Amino acid sequence: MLDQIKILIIDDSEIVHKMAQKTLNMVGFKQVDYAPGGKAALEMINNTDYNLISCDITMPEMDGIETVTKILEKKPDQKIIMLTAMGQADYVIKSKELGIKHYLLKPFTPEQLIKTIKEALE
Amino acid sequence: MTCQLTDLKNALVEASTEVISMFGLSCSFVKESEEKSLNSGEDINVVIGLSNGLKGNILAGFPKSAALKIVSGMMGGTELSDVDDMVKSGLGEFTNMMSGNAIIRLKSDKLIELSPPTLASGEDMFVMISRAPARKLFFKLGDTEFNIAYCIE
Repeated sequence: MLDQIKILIIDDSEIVHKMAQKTLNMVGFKQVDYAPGGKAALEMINNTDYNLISCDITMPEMDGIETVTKILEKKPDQKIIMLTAMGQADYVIKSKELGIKHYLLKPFTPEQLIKTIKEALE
Repeated sequence: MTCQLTDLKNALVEASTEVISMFGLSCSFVKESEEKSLNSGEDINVVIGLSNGLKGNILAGFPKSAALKIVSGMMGGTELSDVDDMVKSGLGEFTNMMSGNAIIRLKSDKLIELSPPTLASGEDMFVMISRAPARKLFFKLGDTEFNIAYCIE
């Protein structure tokens, strides 16, 4: 049931969470939480088991690659997608080396977001 | 590949119009001016630093009318009347998206890194990021406008 699935959006820009939450709420995902950066996200995953985490790359203090690396150290089976404006090959390669299979560029259409989220959850 | 100013200009123009269109809006490039420094004097100004493969800065300037229009588009047409924290967040993210989109178009051999966006906003605001000569791109956005200044070191 989609309304039982817990998703965490990690992004230094809160509007990304609002945009994603609006789209995901419309198709049935009801719990879409927000972390403004890597440090906050690492604390949140201590208390909540998220079915899926979406992570930006360019963030202050701790970038997305470091954030994802630390998440996977705590939870090696965590499903993660990269949701980022950084589409250069180096970032895609770094993400793949971490085992991230899904990479969605911003700006994204609602359809692209839903498709990527659903594929990542399978 | 050595990035020429023309390459970056074209990439910023194409990226701006494409990203704006993703939010159901339409903008057109009007003109480019040469500036003695990298500066902006709009209501909200967003700077993103470029490093590694391309060193420089991008500085976007938005009057309030353009800021509300762009972020309203990002939020699916939600009516906005004040430049609050969400609007500022939206402009930072728009500039981030636009810059990321532009960088991909440069097809650089070396990774070009972008800093997170930094905002400066307020009345009578004037921001100067660098004394290096810069260029400024002006865009029309319906009945309002915005600009994007850039310089390469």
